[in-house]
Amino acid sequence: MMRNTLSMAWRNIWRSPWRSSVVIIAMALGIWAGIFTIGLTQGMNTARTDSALNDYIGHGRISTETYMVNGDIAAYIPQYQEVTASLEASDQVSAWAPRLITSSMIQSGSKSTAVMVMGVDPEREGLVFSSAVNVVEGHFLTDPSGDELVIGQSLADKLDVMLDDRIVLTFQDQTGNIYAGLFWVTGIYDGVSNMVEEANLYVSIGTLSEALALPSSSAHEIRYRVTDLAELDATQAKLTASMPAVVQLDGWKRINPELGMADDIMAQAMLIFITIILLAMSFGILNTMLMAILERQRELGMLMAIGMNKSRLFALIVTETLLLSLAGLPLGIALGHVSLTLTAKTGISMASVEQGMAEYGIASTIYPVTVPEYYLTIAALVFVLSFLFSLYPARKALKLNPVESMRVL
Amino acid sequence: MKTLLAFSFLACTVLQSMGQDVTALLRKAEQASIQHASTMDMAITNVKPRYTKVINMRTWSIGNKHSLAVITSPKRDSGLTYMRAGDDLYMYSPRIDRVSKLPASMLMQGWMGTDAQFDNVLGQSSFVDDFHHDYQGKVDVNGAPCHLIACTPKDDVAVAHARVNVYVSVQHGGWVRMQFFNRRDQVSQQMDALRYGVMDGVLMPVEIGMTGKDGVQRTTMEVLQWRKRPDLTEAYFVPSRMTQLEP
Amino acid sequence: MSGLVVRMAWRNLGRNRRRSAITGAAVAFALFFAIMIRSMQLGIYSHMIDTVVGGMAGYVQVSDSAYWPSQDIDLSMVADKDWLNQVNAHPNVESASPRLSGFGLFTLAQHSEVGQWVGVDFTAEGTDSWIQRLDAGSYDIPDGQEVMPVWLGRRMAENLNSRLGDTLIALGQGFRGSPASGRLILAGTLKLGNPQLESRVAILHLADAQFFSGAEGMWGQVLITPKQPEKSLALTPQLANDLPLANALWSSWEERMPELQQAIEADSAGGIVMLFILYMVIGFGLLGTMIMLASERQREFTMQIALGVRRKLLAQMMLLEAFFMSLLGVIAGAVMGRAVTFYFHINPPQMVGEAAEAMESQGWDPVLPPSMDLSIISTHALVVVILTMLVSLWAVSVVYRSPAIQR
Repeated sequence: MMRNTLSMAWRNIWRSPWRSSVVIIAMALGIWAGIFTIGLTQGMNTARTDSALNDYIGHGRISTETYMVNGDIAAYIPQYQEVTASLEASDQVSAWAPRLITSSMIQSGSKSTAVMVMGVDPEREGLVFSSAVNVVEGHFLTDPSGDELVIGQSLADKLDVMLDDRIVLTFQDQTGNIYAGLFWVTGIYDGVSNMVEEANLYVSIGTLSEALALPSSSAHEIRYRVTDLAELDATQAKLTASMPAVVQLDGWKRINPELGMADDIMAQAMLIFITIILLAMSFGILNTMLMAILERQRELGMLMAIGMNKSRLFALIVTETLLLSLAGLPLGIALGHVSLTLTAKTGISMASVEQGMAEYGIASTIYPVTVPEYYLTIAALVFVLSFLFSLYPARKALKLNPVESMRVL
Repeated sequence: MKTLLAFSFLACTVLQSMGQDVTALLRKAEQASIQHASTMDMAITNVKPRYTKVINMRTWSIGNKHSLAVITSPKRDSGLTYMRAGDDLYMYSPRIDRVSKLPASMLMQGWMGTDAQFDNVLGQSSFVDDFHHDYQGKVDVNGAPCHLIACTPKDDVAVAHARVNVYVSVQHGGWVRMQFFNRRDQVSQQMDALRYGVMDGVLMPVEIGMTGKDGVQRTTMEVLQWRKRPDLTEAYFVPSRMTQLEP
Repeated sequence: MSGLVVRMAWRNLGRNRRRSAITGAAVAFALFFAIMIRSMQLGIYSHMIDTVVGGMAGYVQVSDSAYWPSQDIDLSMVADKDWLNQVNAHPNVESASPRLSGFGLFTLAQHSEVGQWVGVDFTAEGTDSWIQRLDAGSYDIPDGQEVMPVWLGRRMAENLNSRLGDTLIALGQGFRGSPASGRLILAGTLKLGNPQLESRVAILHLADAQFFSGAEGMWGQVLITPKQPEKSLALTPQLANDLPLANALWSSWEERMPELQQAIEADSAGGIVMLFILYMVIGFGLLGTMIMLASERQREFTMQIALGVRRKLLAQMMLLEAFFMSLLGVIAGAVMGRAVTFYFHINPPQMVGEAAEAMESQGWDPVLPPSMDLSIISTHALVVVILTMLVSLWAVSVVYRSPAIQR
């Protein structure tokens, strides 16, 4: 019985091969476009997350709660030696770097602006962050307590600063005194998002701890990398247990929630988009089915007249609609998967909007990723929507008066 | 400013023969300058493409490590006070009535938008102790023959200049030019003694031109008055003094 | 084309109302979604521009020709009040206000924050917009006194742990080598719709800012809000021409913030790609409908051709029918789209939950006001009509392929 309905529905579809092909192709193209857009956006997001983690976030952070709440420079990490010792002891932590941070005014000649000064350990910084490595002119900090300074390209352009120029940083130390210190530009880093380049500059941690009147070997934060990012939560739990209670550990999603949420938000937006496309598709299929019913009034009337029961007729129409929608589904998913696999290797160049991409912290070539986790969702959506949209034509079909129908034409 | 004066004492004695110990001569000259505690009135003129600004100030100093400068005009900045006491550097602003301590590194910073640096105003670091000296032979500066002494900082000294070339006049023995080189061997600052004069019985450069890294001379410092002040002691140079000065 | 064809086409629509309605509904649906997607997207952009540009940066800005990008206070311009009056009187100008700004270190006891001080002429700008921005405190403090009132971005005030009436010490880079320093009384805190601004901006009276920095009689820049802010880019050269000022640089925000502009363009391009996909899908749906419609009437065509009706006439009729249907659909879609965007215009959807937090931390108010630009409707109505006409070419081809003799 079920099989019968199925084969009958299938045959009905191919009674009008042009029309059905168009509907099936439309469905396939819609799904393909949807999947490709998701893959592209996810590729963009992944690239952005990766570069943000590599450039300036790291995988995790150790700090005190007080520092996180109000950024008080006096709230540095106590028992620094113990904390770093347990980082060293952990085999899941691949690198760590201590940082002192203060907001400061930077001044070069008669130009000035606001920046964040990062006091970093010259050797350790490069193990955790790429901004320490992406020095395009000069070199990164070398002296752990010198007056060297590394500045971002965007900020250097804005302040008209070149290598070996002098720069004055002004900020307040722990005791409330105003500190104004002279630094030499020894390196310019680039290739990080403009926002970071304009905000962050680097001096040696020894120099900054002295300037802030903090004890030597103190840090506001320790950022670290783990060997396996997927195991971050477990690693953090272990670390927390081995550390003094006053410090708190945060994963990158806590450090930068909007980055962590970008995936989720994008995924939601993409699902809405796919739903709209599928709604549009379903509407097309609804139209097709309604017309098909009008066209086949006589035939359907005849079927009813010779005793086909109503539920069977209803099932027939629903099945036809479902088949019409579902036929394009595997084709669309296959197309989407193949095109994503291909472009994932070559990348898609976005050179024309490069600056805007840099603003978002995205490289100008995007490598889409395949998104198999969406295929089932899409299939389910197609199934549910086309089922819902099949109800109306099926009901319409039932309302046909068998005798009336036969008289048409 | 002290060092500028110091070099004027090179005048009579120094460098008649190339065989002499240059370091010893520099030391002797610096010692001569430190003997004179002094007060001085000077005017710094800064010519920029858009404006010309003249800053008048009065300074008190002993040696090259203790110095106090208060701005007397323009009106807006008057009362602004800078002080160097040993390795410490201070600034006082009457508007906020607050003394700020500045790190020693600020000595290399351009002073109030001019091409002069803090240490040009508040006593330059010693060329004798912190530098190696190399006699480089005779060179003509503005048509007059000069001895050229290249000073390079000793390894353990944190000095921003990679090298300083000092040109000393063969004729009167005073310095006529100092060139400060950065780590890329570019001239980052140059000072020229434009005019010599006698103040309170001492021969000294009374007008000095400052040239920034772009090679344009924009800042000139002129000594208006200079007096020996044997009564000054190092105890004079304390932060509380800064808040009590009348501009 | 004769009136007969028009009448025939119209009557055909009525002959099979249900079919016409289905096709029209497909068109209406397409237009409705296009309008919704585009209105929301463009609305978010102008909201973004409003927050970032409108408040502090100005749609159009006039400054000394060397002022950008360093914003060096030494490169400020000489205040010219006569010229400013002319600017305010210009028919395309909503308001013009001079500003003077620089960076400074603001300290209160053990806390310090680096911020941008901005001198604002409240009387010239009209206090209304500033009163809206006030989070606490008041503007009711006369300027030019011994102590200067300051209004801090509310996050900055929080970070300084300050209360109204506290005295802050401000140090900064002054005009032409003078150090800027002063004591400031906290008179109020501001909400600026953008966390970055709120943690950085310190507003002073313009006269106080001039005194503080030593730039008496100077303006850093003049911000101009045109009557039609969205036309800033085109309007800028016209204003520069109408209101000449020596050695001045006129720039619209697009020129000063190319990153923002490009970010919007990149995002908008993404939106257009989505619309393209939507249209593609809808186009295929319409094509399916059209194929059916044509095949259903093939017998009718054959008969009419056999009766001597010229194929050209039939083709014209089909095109007209498609045109009428798309027109009906467009009207329905436009009405629906407009109604819904209007509803959201009155009650802007408020984002909630994590997305809202993310948006806020990025600097935007978490509301999504749709754009009410009518050109969105007309543009996409046109696209939909053209799409329908293209699809209806199928029916035309069927007319030409139909055999002349009835089977």
